[in-house]
Amino acid sequence: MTAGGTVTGENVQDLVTRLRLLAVACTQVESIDDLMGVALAQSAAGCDATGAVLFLRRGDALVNVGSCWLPEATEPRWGELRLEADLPLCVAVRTQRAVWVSTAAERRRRFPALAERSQGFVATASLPLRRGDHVLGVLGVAYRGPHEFTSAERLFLATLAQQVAEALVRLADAGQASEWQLSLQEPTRRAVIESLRPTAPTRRAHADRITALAGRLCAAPVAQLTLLGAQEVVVSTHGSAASVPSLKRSLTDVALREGAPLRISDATRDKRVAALPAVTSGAVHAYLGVPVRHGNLAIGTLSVSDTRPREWGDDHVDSLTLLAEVAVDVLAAPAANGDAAPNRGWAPRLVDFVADLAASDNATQVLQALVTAAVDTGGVDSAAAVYRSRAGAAAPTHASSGPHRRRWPVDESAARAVERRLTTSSVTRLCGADALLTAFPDQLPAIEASQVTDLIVVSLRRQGEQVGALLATVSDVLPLDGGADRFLSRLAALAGSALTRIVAQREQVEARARLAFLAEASLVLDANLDVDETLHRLARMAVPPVADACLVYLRGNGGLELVAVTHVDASIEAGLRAHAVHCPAIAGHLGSAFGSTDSQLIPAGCDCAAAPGVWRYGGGQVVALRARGRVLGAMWLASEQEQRIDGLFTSSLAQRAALALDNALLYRERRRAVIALQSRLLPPRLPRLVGFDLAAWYEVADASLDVGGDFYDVVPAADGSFTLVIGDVCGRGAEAASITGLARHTLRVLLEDGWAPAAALSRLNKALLSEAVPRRFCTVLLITMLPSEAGVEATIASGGHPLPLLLRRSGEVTEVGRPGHLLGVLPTVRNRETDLKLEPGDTIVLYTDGVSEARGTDGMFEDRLHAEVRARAGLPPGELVGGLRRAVTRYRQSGADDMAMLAIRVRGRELLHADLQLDGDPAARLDEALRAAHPDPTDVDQTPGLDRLLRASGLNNGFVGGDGTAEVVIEELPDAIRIEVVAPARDATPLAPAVPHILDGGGVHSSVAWAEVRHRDE
Amino acid sequence: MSDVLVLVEDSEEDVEAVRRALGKSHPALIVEWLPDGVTLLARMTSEAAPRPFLILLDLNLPGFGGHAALTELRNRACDAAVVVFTSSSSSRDVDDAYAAGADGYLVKPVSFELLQQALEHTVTYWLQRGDRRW
Repeated sequence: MTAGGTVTGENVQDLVTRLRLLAVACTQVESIDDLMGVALAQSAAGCDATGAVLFLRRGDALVNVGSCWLPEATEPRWGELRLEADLPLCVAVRTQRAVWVSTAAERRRRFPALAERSQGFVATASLPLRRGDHVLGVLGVAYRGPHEFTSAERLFLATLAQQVAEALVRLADAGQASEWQLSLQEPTRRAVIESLRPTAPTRRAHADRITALAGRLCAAPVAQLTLLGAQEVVVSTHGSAASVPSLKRSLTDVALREGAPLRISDATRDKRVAALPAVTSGAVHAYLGVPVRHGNLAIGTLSVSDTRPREWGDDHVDSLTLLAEVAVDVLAAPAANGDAAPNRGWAPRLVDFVADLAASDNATQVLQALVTAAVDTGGVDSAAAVYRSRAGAAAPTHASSGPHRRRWPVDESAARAVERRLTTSSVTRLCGADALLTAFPDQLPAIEASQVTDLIVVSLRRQGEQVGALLATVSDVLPLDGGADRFLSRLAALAGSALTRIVAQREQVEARARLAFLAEASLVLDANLDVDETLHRLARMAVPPVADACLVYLRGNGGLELVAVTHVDASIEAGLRAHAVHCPAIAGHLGSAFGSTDSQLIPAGCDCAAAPGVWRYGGGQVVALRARGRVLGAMWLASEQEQRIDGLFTSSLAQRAALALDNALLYRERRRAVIALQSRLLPPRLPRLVGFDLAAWYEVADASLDVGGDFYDVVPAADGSFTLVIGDVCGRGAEAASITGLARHTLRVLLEDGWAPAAALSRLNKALLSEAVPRRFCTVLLITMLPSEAGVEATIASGGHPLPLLLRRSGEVTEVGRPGHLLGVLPTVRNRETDLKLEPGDTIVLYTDGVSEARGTDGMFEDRLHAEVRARAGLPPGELVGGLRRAVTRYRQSGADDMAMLAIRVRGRELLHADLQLDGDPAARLDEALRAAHPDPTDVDQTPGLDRLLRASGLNNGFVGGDGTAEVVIEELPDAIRIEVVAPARDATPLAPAVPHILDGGGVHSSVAWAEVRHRDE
Repeated sequence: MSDVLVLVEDSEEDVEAVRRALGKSHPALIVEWLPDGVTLLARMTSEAAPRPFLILLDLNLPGFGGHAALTELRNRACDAAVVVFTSSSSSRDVDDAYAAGADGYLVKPVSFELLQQALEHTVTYWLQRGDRRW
């Protein structure tokens, strides 16, 4: 710009260029600071001014918000000017006209007050920032010397002021306004509110519908629509007006300051509002208010309230937000009279539409409401909506306003074509068949068949992202004035808000579900130390809440093992299990997961052609299971929907699973080691003793990772005797194991050498003391048995151990032996021996205190031990021990201790021990077998009772294996003949119930049946 | 495809939770509640009753249990889709359910949100099952 006084062709061109650049600069600024920079720099540079200053109006004052001065200039400290001051800037605002001062003389003449504020400037230009009839502020330009403003400069500065004003409003509306900028909003807001006052009865009726709907949707007794301008304007109240006399500005103020929904369940406890008259008066106890916005300018609230405390749900907030969104539309609607055809009555339809949206729970319902509302627009024949949800494209939704109306059946192909067209424009109107066919060339048949000529396409956006479109076919008579376009755009915008709400709600539910899953999965992971079972359960729980399929792999010595597969469909699960082990696509993804350095997620969609119908997943995550620096396996969560699997969630789940897996693996390894060590402290197998049946049982306390202290043994001596050993070392773990080893091996050496029980115990006591292991002692019971023609001589000695039980054939149970000192405590011990003569059929039961001291709800197991043993009279030792074990396990409530049990039964003279085929005539087969085993017929013929046993034909339906074979033992007891039939356990079938009736005693237990027949002649 | 879902469940709380969850995700669905296995068998053999697209079957039912009911359904050549709906996630129970002819196995979550997700995906899957083209 030159200092010349006229506008030449050359500087006109220059002016146009500058104005164009100015306009571009002002429209591109994104903050108030940027705008001030542009305004001040342009005004100073464009007119060779020394500086420029910007004031904004706040009430009756002008506030300095920025200035720009040449380097040599002193920046004036102007803060606030009263609007009534006789200064050029204030006059410009008051008169809404630019004030030009060119010389010092003019300045003194027109503005004598300036002398007091002289900053060394002579010429000034004061330009009001006008927005309609309101002045937002003033832009000042100053010169050190006199300056005659040319026409071009005046035009430039006036244009600059106009651009700045518009940019200020735009920025304020976009939420850029800070505290001082509220003054900027004030006049705009007042102006907007003034224009929205519902003076017309139709507008008031619309407003009343909104508040009535708000009250109904939120189940609130009172609802209000309030605008807050120069003064509060209650546009509409639904509910008892008397109950809300003080629902006044204060609450609206608070809601507006929040800038977001204000949700108060108990106002008396909420510091923000507790002191407000509306609350202290009791009129409002619960309050929910959402801002009503005109563009981005908050101008009031739509609120509901209750006189009692209550909670407001997310659905209440959403409903109110939607209604607030439409409130301004309704209030700004033209009066009913004289409306253009497309818009007639659209305000109430918008309210209806919002009501439908508020009641919608999913996208399908929203789209249906949208197309239904669209065909209700005057001139619209039919409507369709295409929508791409997070899960992918949904089928288009259609509606048409009548059977005779034209309708273009939008299919998937058309939907995609629509999406492509909507990349740049939010509303597109295609007029005429040619335009349609150009836009959708592959839809030629459908378009021709429908006879559609005009189409309005409106972008459907969710959170700013284009997610679909509303398509409306329009009749020829619809005026092309854009009314329908605007209305349809409004419908689409409201539908977009509803979709945003639904997606947000869904995301919330999904997020809560994922958290809940992690919590429930953690419980499962922590509750079980069985590796495979834990992984099975985890995979089962994950499908279908968080994935469509889940595969879990475990890495072992043999490579990667697929341990768990789940799918929502059992048939696909089976196919997936078979396919996954050799699928190259899966192997590739697993390789990637293992190759990553940490627990990276590998996005893994898969469409394996080798397994049609089984393996087709659009999305998923593969993650290596890593814990304590080890890769333990991998987990694959797969989904047909690309975005269903959340990476953070998968990562978190994998971390928990890996840690639990690592613990379970460590436990399993340790457990194996303990069991291996324990087995070395017990005899690998019990010896076969002629004339005796032996059984033992040992159980380490549940979930214990220490070697137990109980032990047992059977030690044969050279003289044909043998000794039963049972003991219990105090404590657990390595030290206990060392004592157990010492005791067992010491005793074995002594007893093999023929030491008597008491002497052996005494020697062991010394050995324990010599080990000098503090606080380590043990109890031991020894029974040496010497079989002879006269029977079995037993010698019992106890070193502090529970005494054994003798079970006679009659069922009598007695404790035998004498108590003695425990070992490893006293230098000398007294362990007196007890001699006992055993009869064939007698059983002795040895046990540790884990059996007798097992605690139940009513005491200890020892209280019922005799009865439990008696109840098993006649049973072979294996069955007796097994039965006692089950009884103890059922009885005990907690605090499992190690348990050991050893039982021995004295057999009678064995007449037969053979595997026999027992079908057909079992008596004949038994007789045949007996005579084969006893070449001297008197052995068999003179055995009392044997003839009756052989006649026991009940065995032919008896207790035999699947192939009809069974192990049969026949023995001669002092007063009876006993038969035992042992069937292979897997194929065992019940013994015929007739057998006990025929014979004199017996029973069936698991895989063993026995019967006794007494000698009749005795 | 029918829009009837049969829920065999003896716990009223669980029935209410299922109805509430499906009311949100599949409001058009008709949820038919049966309290035990006997009424399920009677219902499935009635020609008047519409064929459900899915049966959600609890295992722990009074009297004639879910497992027995499922076995009997299959013995009677009923091929309706049955998804076992139980609180147990033990692999033995899963194996037993599949051996008895279950088409799916859904572990009842404790959390309502999780239940909502589980039911939504299960029902959507079985609704589309007939039309599925891989």
